[in-house]
Amino acid sequence: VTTPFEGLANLDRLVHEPTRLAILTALSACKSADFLFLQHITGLTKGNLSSHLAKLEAAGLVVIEKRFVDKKTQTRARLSDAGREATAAYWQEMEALRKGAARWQPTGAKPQPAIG
Amino acid sequence: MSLSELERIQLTTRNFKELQGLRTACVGLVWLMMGLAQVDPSPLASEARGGIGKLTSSVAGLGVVLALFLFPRVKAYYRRTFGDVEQSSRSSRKSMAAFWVAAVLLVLAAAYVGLLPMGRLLTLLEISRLLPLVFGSAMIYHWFVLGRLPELSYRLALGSLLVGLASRSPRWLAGPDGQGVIEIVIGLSLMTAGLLDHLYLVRSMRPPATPAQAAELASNPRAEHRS
Repeated sequence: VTTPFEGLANLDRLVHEPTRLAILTALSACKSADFLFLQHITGLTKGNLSSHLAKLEAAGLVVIEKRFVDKKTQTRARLSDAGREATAAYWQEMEALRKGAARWQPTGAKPQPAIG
Repeated sequence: MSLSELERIQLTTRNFKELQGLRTACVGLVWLMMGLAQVDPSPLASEARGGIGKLTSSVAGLGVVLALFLFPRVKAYYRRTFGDVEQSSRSSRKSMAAFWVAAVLLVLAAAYVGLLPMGRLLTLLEISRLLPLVFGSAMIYHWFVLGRLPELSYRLALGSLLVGLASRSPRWLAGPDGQGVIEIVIGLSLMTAGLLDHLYLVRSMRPPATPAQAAELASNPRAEHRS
């Protein structure tokens, strides 16, 4: 018999990591966002954000584009189709876990007496 | 990363352009100046009325020019300071369509209950009453769209004020300064909402962590790296 908490181990680690989840959440709420925005909304340093974006890009969840705007390079990121699916699947899984945890009672546990 | 943090990220990203309140404040400034230009500045000093009226019109004109000058710069300021987001066209189009449907329904409902006489709906007097109704309902609608957050409840309060203004007696609005006063109230409401939106955005877009803060966070993962 599995407990709902064992499902936590099956969560996509790449998405579940809090910083990457914050980046994916921001990108799932828009078409694309530039590097400066992502830095502000997540509060990450340039190095940290670059490293997390590189990991997400390598996994095919995020697409990075570099453009020239006013003679300056602008880095924009957007979710790939796989990224959108992975983020949606993650939240579905979390919701299922939440519901499972609310219903779950340890085996052999005595039912709680009614209060009042 | 708490759920409320993720909600903040999602809400701010989805409504990044709507929360750029200094743009709304510029639009409010135009309405304020248009209203000031119409209101009689010196009801007690009738002989000075002409001169002061001209001065008010000039100041109002300068205010409008200032707002038009600032508007594109404000847009650039937001892009330079907080970056840029390309919002999902489907969601913004859907949002705008929902607003206009809601606005038309509200006007029809107001006409139905007798707040706005249908026959005179397109006369100048009724249009002046429609303005606060449209701006007020837009503010209330945006408050709903932005997740009915208590932090943004000033939109609900200002929106209700404008909708309330639309329901004032037509005699009061028919006075010589009625139209000007309405535009002043609309302008002040938009400026207030804009400035408060801006403050919310600034609080929400906290500055990126410095390398020192990042190092501190790495050594003590439980510590918040942002004040």
